[in-house]
Parts: sequence; C-alpha cells; structure tokens
Amino acid sequence: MSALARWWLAPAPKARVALFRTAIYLFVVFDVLMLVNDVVPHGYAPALYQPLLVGRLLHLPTPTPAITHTLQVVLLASTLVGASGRLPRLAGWTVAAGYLWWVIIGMSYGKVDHDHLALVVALWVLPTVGPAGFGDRTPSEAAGWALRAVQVATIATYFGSFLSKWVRSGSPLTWANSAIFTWAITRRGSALGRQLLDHPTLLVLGQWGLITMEMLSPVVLFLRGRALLLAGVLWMGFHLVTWLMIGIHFLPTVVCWLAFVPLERLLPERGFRGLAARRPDPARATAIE
Amino acid sequence: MSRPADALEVERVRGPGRVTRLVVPVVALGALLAGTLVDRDDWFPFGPLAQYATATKLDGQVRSTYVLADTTDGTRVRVPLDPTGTGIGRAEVEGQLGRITEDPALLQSLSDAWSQLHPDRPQYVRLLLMRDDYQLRDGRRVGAPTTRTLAVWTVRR
Repeated sequence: MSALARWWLAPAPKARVALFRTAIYLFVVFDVLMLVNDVVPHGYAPALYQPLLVGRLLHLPTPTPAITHTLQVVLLASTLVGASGRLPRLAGWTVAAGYLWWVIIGMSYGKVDHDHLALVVALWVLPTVGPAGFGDRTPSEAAGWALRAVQVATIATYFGSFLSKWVRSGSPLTWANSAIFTWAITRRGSALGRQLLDHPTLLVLGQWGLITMEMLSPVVLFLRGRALLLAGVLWMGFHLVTWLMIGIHFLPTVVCWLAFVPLERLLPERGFRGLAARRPDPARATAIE
Repeated sequence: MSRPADALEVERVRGPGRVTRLVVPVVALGALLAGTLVDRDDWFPFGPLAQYATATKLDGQVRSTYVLADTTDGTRVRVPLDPTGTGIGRAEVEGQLGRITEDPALLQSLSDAWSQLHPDRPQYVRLLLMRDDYQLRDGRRVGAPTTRTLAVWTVRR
C-alpha cells in the first residue's frame, strides 16, 4: 500500500465520525436558519438572479419563494434525521444535495462567499461512511477517509486563499504590503476595528501574519498532539479577531476543525465487547442507588 | 489505557470503493486549483477563494456602495442590504454594479423584495444607488469621503 493511500485511508474510530456527523448536521440547521438565511428572501428578487455555471449546467430553476421554502423544509428535516444517526445514507445524500443547491442559490446573486468549502465537502463525504454508532470504537478506513477529506478541505480553504491573493494581487508581497485591512475595516469595521485605522503599520503587520499562516497551513495536516492543538488555537484566534474587527466569523469553516479532534473521547466507549455487552444493566444501576 | 483500538480489527475498504476514495480527492483538488488559477467565481464550488484577495493600494481609494430610499412617509432612509431587510447584500449589489447602473430598473427588485418582506413598513418610492469614495495616503484615510450618485430609480407600483 502506497504511503499516499495509507495517509488518505488512515483508520479512525467510527464513534469519531458519528459524533462529527451529528455536530455538522446540527450546525447546518443553525446555518440554514441564521447564516445563509438570505436564500428564502432571495426568492423575492428574481431579476437579480445570476445563476452560476453549475446552476446553468443543471438547469436549476430560478428560485421563487415556493422553491426556497420547500427546499428549506426538506433540508431541515433530513438534517435532523441525519443528526440522530438514523438513515445515514438516505438522510446524508439528501442533506448533501439540498445544501449544495441552497448555497448555490445563496451565491447566485452577484457575490460568491468562500467560507463554505469544507462544510460542503463534509456533507458529501459523510454519507459514504454509512452506519456508525456513538460508542463504536471500531477503527474504520471509511471513517478515516471521510475525516481526512474534511481536514484537507479545511486547509484547502486557507491555502486556496493564499493562492488567490497571489493571483489577484500579482504577488503575495503586494497583498501583504497593501491597504486591504484598511479597506475591509473602512467598509464594515466594528467600533473596535475602526480604532486600528489610525495604525496602518499594525494592519500591514497583520496582513503579513495572515498570509504567512495561510501559506504554511498545509503543515497542519501533518501535526499531532500539542503542535496540532497550538495550530488550532492560532487559527481559532484569527477567526475570533476577524469577527471582532469586521464581523466575519467563518463559522462554517471553524466547525470543520472538529475533524481534527478525537471526539470519541467525549463519550464512554462501548465498542470493545460489542454494543449489547456494555449497555447499563438496570438491575445493577438500582443496586448502586 | 487504550486497549480497545488495538484489540479491534480494522474495517478496511476494498475494491472500487478504495480506488474511488483515492481518485476523487485528486480530481477535486485539481478542479479547485484550476478554478483558483483561472480565477472564475462562476466555477463555484471550484472557484477561487478570493475574499479580500485583491490588494488595495496604500495611496488608493476605498469605495463603499449603499442604497438610499425616499419612502411613502416622506423620509429618506438607508435601504437595509442584508438577509432580513431586502435579502440582497451590499456585496451582491456591488457584484452587479455594472448591470444596475446600465439598467437602473433592476433597483425595482430591492423595492419589490422590501414590500413583500415588510408590507407593514413605509414603502419605497424612489431609490438612489450611492457610493462613498475614501482617499488613502500611506494606508491612512484622509479627509471626508466623496459621495456620488450612481443611479436613481422611481419605483413602479
């Protein structure tokens, strides 16, 4: 087995993916209601609909309030079923397709956001794992692959941003030495952020810090233990500061960092002797009381 | 105390499932890289991750677009370009700025969306697409912004 295959298919406990799946699906409920919540209102402005390539290829209809409301209901129902761990494939594929359509609509009115890449990938890989119990610690290549794919997509979000800065600005140096943070804060800065407008040197330093982190982000995929924790804290810190300064939270990417976390340790393990053997014995529970 | 992971046998993926899992990431990452280098937002979800990727010159300008409205109760208000106001974001208006200045009738959409989302609030009778230009020098804002009117539209009922 080649090193690449070993890396992509490194086994992970099924419980980890079960917990990750529930967290992601519950986040989608929040996202649909609170973050990409402009999809239903978008149905009222058909003249501004500018479908993306994928929408044109698939001949997706121009969103109307009836379409967006229906899509929202289907999406919420399948997401809640998926979060419970039931019908992992049927519910999972429904969420994946429905949510992709949801964000395609959200991005088809003249502005494309980039904080959903890892989340969309997560929704498309999760159904491939199939049934996985919350207490099942059986190591599985399918589970490991799904989590790896989310990790890669999360990091690709940062490294892709680095490449885009290079493409759009001509060189990473031009971007790092520009007034881009001033531009962002002028347009949408919080009271806290606007205080920084008087310190352009500090903002340029921040730009150097960010583009360096983005350039080095692929390293995170190969970190373990404390070093991985430190990298995670650093990136969470970046998202927190961005949110405080200009109100952009990147939560859909932040939640995908959970793919790096050994979530199964949050729950007692039941996989060792099989599910039935570890179920709490009611008689014994009474005796302890 | 990590007995279980060692004691349990690994569930492997074999055959076509294994091949697919190794090929799909290569294709997807290739498409993402292509979308980034060709730089087409239209290729979403394989487009460039280009938020805040365009450098602003230290002696350049910061431009900020917004829409004002004269309402049925005689006041001039700022049109809320957000999910709960009109459903259309400021960046979306900016993304279609060329289309809108060429055909200001598109502003009617904002008024239509507002009246369907907020039928009980004062309605828009005239919309003004505005832009504030802030001048920078050495990365610092100098002076007050220059305000321009980019388009005006009288709402049809």
